[in-house]
Amino acid sequence: MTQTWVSVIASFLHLVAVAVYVGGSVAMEFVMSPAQKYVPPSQAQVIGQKSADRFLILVWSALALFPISGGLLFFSLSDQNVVNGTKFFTTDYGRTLFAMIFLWFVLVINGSLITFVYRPKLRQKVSSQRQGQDFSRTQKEMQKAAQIVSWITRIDLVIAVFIVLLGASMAYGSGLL
Amino acid sequence: MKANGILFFSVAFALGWSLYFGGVLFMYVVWRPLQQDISPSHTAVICSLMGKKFKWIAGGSLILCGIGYIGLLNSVGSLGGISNLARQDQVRFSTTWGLIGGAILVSLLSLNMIMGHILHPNSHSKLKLRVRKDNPDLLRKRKLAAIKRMDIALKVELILSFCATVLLAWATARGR
Repeated sequence: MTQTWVSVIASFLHLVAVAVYVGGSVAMEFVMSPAQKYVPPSQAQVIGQKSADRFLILVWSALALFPISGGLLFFSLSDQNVVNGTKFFTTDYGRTLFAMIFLWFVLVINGSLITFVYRPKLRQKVSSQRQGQDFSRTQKEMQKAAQIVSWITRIDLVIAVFIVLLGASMAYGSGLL
Repeated sequence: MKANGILFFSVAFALGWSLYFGGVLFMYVVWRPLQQDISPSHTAVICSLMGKKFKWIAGGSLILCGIGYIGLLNSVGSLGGISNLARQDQVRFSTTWGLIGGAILVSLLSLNMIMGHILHPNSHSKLKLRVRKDNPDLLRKRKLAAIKRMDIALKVELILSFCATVLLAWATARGR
């Protein structure tokens, strides 16, 4: 009975995490970002920063939930018997699970790059005293960082959709790879 | 062939639901609290544009989800009982549960259409200059009422989505 509830709760958390990551990324990239172009740039920058701050909390929560809920689901459904030992690489289920774990690491690396490398570059303020070359260099850096963040977000979205494909093949079948 | 069909429907179902539910959560957790930090005029511009786009994304996602749902139930009669794994306790999605899930999907699609095509545009409506001069408070009152109705609809949407996710979690983890 307890095992049933653990697997239901784990499954619920897993579904919420996937939805937050995939649906949230689409809403952020294709709904909110284009709308910001219709307000003055200074206001758009504030909106972009604040929405990204909030969304990154959701993203990291989802990334943290994936292994926790996935692990709980895995063990509560007694799937460890299916992929123990060499079966992890010799069965469709094992290979699909391995690919999902690998892609999760890629998402974590990309998330870290955005959070700790490119976001701080976007947040830097250009003071009125810094003029000329210094000012244009900072502005170029910020534009480049914004472009890279956008690219990484889109790559993450493609990876997340592929993870959904793999997850669906595991939930309703025996894996894809 | 059947396995490919099942994979297609399961991906359509999972992707459709993720896009819809994630989008709704985003609007509730990111966009709505953010409105307090932006000036009302800019909020109105962004909100109106986002609403116009999101209604199609949400509607399309729900239709995709519905196609996957019907396809899965037709193909296998179950959302959990098709695994090749030796799970002894796969409980199949009986007709009653299938109907409840279907009813929730139809309710969410209807709610999305009402919100996207009636409630949300009403909260951004404009009055003709003559009417505005005659009754300056009318627009404000109308907008406040529309925003209140939108607020209630959003909460209902969120509750229904959570119920659907719990049902889905139950079906996926145990099948029924």
